Amino acid sequence: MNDVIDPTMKKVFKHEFIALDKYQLISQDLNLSEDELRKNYQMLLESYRLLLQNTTKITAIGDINQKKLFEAFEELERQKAILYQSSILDYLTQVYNRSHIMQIFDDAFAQNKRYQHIFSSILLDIDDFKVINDTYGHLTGDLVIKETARQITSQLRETDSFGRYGGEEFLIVLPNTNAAEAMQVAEKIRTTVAETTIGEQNLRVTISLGVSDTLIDPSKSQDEMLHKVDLALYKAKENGKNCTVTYTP
Amino acid sequence: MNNLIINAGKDTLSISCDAAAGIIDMQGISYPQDAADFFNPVFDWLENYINEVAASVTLNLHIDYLNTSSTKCLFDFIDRLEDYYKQGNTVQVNWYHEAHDEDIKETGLEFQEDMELPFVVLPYTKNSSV
Repeated sequence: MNDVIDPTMKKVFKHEFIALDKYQLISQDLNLSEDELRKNYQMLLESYRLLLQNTTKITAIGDINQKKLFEAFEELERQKAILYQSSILDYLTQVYNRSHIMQIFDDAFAQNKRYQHIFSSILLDIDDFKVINDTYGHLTGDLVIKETARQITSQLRETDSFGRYGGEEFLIVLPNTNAAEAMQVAEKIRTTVAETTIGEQNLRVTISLGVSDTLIDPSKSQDEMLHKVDLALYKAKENGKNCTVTYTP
Repeated sequence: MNNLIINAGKDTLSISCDAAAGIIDMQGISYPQDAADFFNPVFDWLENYINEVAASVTLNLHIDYLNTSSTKCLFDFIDRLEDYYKQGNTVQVNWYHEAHDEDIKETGLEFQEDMELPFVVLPYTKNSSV
């Protein structure tokens, strides 16, 4: 039985193993007198009492430390989740940050190239945001960005991904959606934002949107595709703002 | 008699044994592959101290984590101090736990329960002690 025990354990529990060896010697030599047997028996009894006591104690301490270890592990997992969230979210709006929405855009682009899964993108921008900032200050500007992001989120479908692309500019990726369908989503967003009043001053803002999909725009790169939807947004601004324009080649 | 200094490893305690002061400090976490090997020099140092210096011993413990074999080694180490105490020597064991760390406090109390020597369990705040 001893052979299967890890040598490290034998070193750690050396006193206990000495007691075990003694027991084996005594049990082999039964030519002892009654007194000697009694004496040995009592000695063994005491060794085993101590051994049992120590084992109980060590097990109890082991359990406490195991609990501590698991708690530390759970805390680590909690912190990891918090860290992950803060690495993908925009601090002000709590929607995806630029790097994460770009990651989603890149993934959708790769899926389209590999499996021809169609997707649309909407690039939108708050109209005359500089005027809001200059008139009411940066705090109000931040509030407008935050509230606009909230209104946009409320109009998205579950599968759509939405992120802050720049200062007052946002990008939406709509998988398995063509430009006509994306246009409907964009218009719902536009009207919702236009109807919302923001803050104590009851501010109203409008947004301009550019829409494109992978059928009308077979771009070879992500940058090229973003440029095309940006052109559509630019046209919406040119058309007098507060409107949506679909990219045409 | 020489002092013994063992720097903390990835999975081992930092230990310092001061022969002139009779103070042994142990700090940190302990889950080495071979706990007996790790603790052996400390047992040897204590035996030499008991034989050569034979003065009082204070053991200060700031433990954050112990695996089972380390628990057993520490148990044996305090057992040896208990023998020394029972021979009429002055021995003091101070088990420190961070104020909010109930698990380490409880571990200290488990050790304390079985030992027949002066053994106190005390809270401390990191950075202000040690």
